[in-house]
Amino acid sequence: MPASILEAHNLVKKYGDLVAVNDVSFAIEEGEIFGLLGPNGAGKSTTISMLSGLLPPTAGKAIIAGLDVVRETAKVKQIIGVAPQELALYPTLTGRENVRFFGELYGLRGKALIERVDEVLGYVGMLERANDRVQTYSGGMKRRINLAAALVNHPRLLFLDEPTVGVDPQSRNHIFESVERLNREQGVSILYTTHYMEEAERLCHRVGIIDRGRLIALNTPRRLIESLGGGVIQLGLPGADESVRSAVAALPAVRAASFLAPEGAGLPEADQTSATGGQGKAILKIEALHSNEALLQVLHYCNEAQLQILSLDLLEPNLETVFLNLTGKSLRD
Amino acid sequence: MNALQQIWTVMRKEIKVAAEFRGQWLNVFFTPLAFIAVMGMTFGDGGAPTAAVYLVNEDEGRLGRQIVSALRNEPTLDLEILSGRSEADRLVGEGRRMAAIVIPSGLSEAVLTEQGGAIEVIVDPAQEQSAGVVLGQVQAATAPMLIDAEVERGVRTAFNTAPETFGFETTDLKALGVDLETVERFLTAAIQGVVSSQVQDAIDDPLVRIELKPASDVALRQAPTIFDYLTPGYSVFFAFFLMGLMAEIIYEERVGGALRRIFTLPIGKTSFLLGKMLPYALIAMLQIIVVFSVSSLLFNFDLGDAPLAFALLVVATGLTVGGLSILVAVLIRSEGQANSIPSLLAVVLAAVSGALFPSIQLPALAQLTPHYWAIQGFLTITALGGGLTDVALHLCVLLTVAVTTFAVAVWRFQPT
Repeated sequence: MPASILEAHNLVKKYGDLVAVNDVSFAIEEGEIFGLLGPNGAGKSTTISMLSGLLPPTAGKAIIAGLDVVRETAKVKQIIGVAPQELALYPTLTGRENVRFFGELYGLRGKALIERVDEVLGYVGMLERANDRVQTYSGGMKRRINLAAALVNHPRLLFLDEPTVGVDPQSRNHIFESVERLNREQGVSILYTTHYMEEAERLCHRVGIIDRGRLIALNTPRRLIESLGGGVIQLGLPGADESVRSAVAALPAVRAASFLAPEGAGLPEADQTSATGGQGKAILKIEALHSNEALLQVLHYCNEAQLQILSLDLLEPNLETVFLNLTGKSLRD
Repeated sequence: MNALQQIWTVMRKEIKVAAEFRGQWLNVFFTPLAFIAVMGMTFGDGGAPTAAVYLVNEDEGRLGRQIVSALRNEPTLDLEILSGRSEADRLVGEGRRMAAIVIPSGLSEAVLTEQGGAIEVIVDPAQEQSAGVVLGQVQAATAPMLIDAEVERGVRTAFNTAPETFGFETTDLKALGVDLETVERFLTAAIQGVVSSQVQDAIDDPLVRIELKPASDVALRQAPTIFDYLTPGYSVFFAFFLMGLMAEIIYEERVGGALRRIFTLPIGKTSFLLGKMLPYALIAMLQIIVVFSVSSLLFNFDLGDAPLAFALLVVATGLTVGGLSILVAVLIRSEGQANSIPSLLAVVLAAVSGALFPSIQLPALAQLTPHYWAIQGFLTITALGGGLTDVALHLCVLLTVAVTTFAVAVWRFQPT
């Protein structure tokens, strides 16, 4: 069994009554790219803050390379690199000055510092513009400098918190390639948070899906997608009739069927009405064993039962659909 | 990792970032000099803070001329001579000057009568308290002349009542060939000479002396000039505007995520905040040196004879600026606070401390401000000729403020 570079055990972070991270446990193997996928506000950044020694957990503990993150913070910080979600750079300094500043704080000096700064700037493709001020860069270039600054200390474990937010396609590809090369050529383990399922599918060996502070699924992207079976059909009906749901669930090509909570669930009734367009429309989520057969059987049933179909969506099996299936909402909600 | 290297790294970064705020540098270095020049011209550059008053002399006698001469020699009075009391009354009423001294017609004669005479001081009601100081200065300046007049009146009265007192007739004395007028003039002059001499001795070398001394037995090297007050006052006042610059930079680091990133690195709060604070302390020290030097060159301001004490006071003041600035900066949580609180604090502390206007009397509250201790320390060195022991208390207070504010800043600092 491969050794774990990171182990998170029942991590909890509370701010008063607000539980930002709720009993999150997972492990990252040495050399693995692990994705934390979830919408904004799900608790991804708070989890990274606890794992990087920035925030003390309210409960639980984290171990990195055998070191307790709370009790041996200084040692842990020497072996990790963090590229935060914000562009944590000094805009009036050049890209090189920024990277150099963080390198010096890690204790790099002299020739070693100069060489390493050039190396990481080259790694992210920013050598040519390194002596320009950060405030003159595009969003994508700033992100690349952000990544370079996180690499300057040769980290064994790299935390990348939403590294492609606000990035142009060219820089996004550059970041993807940098991450893949780092992992492939240097064996750097990476914790990658994102709310873009395409990134998680492309880069991550395993993905943990996090929502409202809870880790609700964890597996390889393929397994998570396979868990959907033959795909998901969403059927819009005039009302949430339990007899309809059980009849659909009993169809041979259907694995399960359930009504989604309406948007705005938990809100006052008047607001829920508003969230559903005031039409009382119910969404029946149908997990198919085989999507084509399930679709035909569902349409046939609706025709026989003289049910009015208000909408019909056949969802592509991907992590977005997995998240939707697990939470009833979109990653970008 | 060597903490000193980390502090040095943060310092260099801070100076580079702060160097971009050119408007702030203008404010910190140039504005105090501009204020010193303008205030110096307004208050006059001849001496200590002066009371601006009008003087009207209606008396045509000797005493009136003597009083005018004495008041003109009084360095703490800025006199403007007017011809009539009605004009003086009007101008004081308009608030042009705080008071008018009126020597009334016939004063020279009146003081020789039993009723005596009076010098009048017309006061601006809005500055009545300050005008009390004028009254004291007039009394001090005219005291010798009034004693002379008092002696003359006493001798005349005594001479005129002598025949009755001693039981002889003036006609008998005239019959004996005594010229009474000559005797009177002789006796008056003789007694006046003796009494005046004694009075002058009493003034010059009184049996009971009242000595004005600073707390630490410092000898006044010369009368303080207006620049002894303005230079440290405005230098310290504007040095504390660095609070705003530091607050702005830390606020931007906080919202931009740089603070979060830095504390994912192996650096402690103390090292980081020292690296942040020291550049501003050094800038404050540099500002004090520049402002004092330029003031010395342009306004003939005397820097004193205690370079070590002066240097230590510069360092202590700089560290206090740094300490208070870092404390304010780490407590700031919004852009609105960053834009308003440091400036407000700088102005209020300066106003309370007496840094803005040279003041004869400072409120006790002033001693609660670091500005007061810095300014009084510099005054002790430059105006009073004090040395290291004379400013020991000032140094202790300033360093205590610097250490305490920095410690509280470390305690309260939250990078997230």
